[in-house]
Amino acid sequence: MIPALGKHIGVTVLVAASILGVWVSMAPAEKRAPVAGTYSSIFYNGDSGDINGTEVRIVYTRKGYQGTVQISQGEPSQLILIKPTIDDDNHITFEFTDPTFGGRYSYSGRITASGMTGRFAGEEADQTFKRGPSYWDTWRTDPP
Amino acid sequence: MNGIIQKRIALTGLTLALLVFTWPAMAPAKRPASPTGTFSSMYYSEEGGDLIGTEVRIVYTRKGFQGTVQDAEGEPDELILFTATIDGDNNFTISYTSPRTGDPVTISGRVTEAGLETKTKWWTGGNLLKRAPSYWDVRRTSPP
Repeated sequence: MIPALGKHIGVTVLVAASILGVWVSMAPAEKRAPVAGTYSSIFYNGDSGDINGTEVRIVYTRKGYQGTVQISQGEPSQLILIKPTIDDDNHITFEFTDPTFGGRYSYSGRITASGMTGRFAGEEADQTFKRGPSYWDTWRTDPP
Repeated sequence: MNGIIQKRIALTGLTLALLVFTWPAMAPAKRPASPTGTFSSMYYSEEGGDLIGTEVRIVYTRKGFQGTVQDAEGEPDELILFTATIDGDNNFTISYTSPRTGDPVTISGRVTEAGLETKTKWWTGGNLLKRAPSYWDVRRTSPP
């Protein structure tokens, strides 16, 4: 009697696990956020007169994704063209050399529906550049 | 008595005329439109499955105005970086080398609230490239 009960429980657990497995595989996959867009933390500080933040813009081209980066620490840098590498999970990496000061930058992050979160090599914590219009379209006086 | 009245009328007329002529000069000058921004005719044609249009973006940098231009005739071309000359009246000149033909391209005109107004037509038609959100931020399916 007891071995039969054990078998019954075993079969029930197996069926439940199978149903769970099928359920998970049938669940709709998380929709991939668009890669192209503008990701910005740039704003104008009215007190100091500084423009601070970083803006990354990604577009699609016939040769894959391309973009621009602009870093502003008081004054906005020159525009820098980038060719980012982006995987199927929206992880993004890119490298560039600052045309004014010659520093080499390397970035790694991930693009989501709300923005781009990651860090430049050497930074201690991730930061998010919010998806939205370019600073140069809106002239924000507060961080986006 | 009549002479005094005539003199007063003439003086009043002169004062009024002076006011009328000096009023426009005293009024605050109209602030020119922001020379930075995104100017786009790019949209996705669902009928043909093509991306069509031109998108110009102008930003300010520590070295003056810079920007990018991207054409799309079916598929979007690579981004082209340019340096723009923009004077106090928002008259602009953009120069770059066409990635397809290798020919030098010069576009000049005026930046207004409406967009980039040029004497020569943009290849997509018309003399105005409208100020509009980037296609890559909004993914239009009809011309802006």
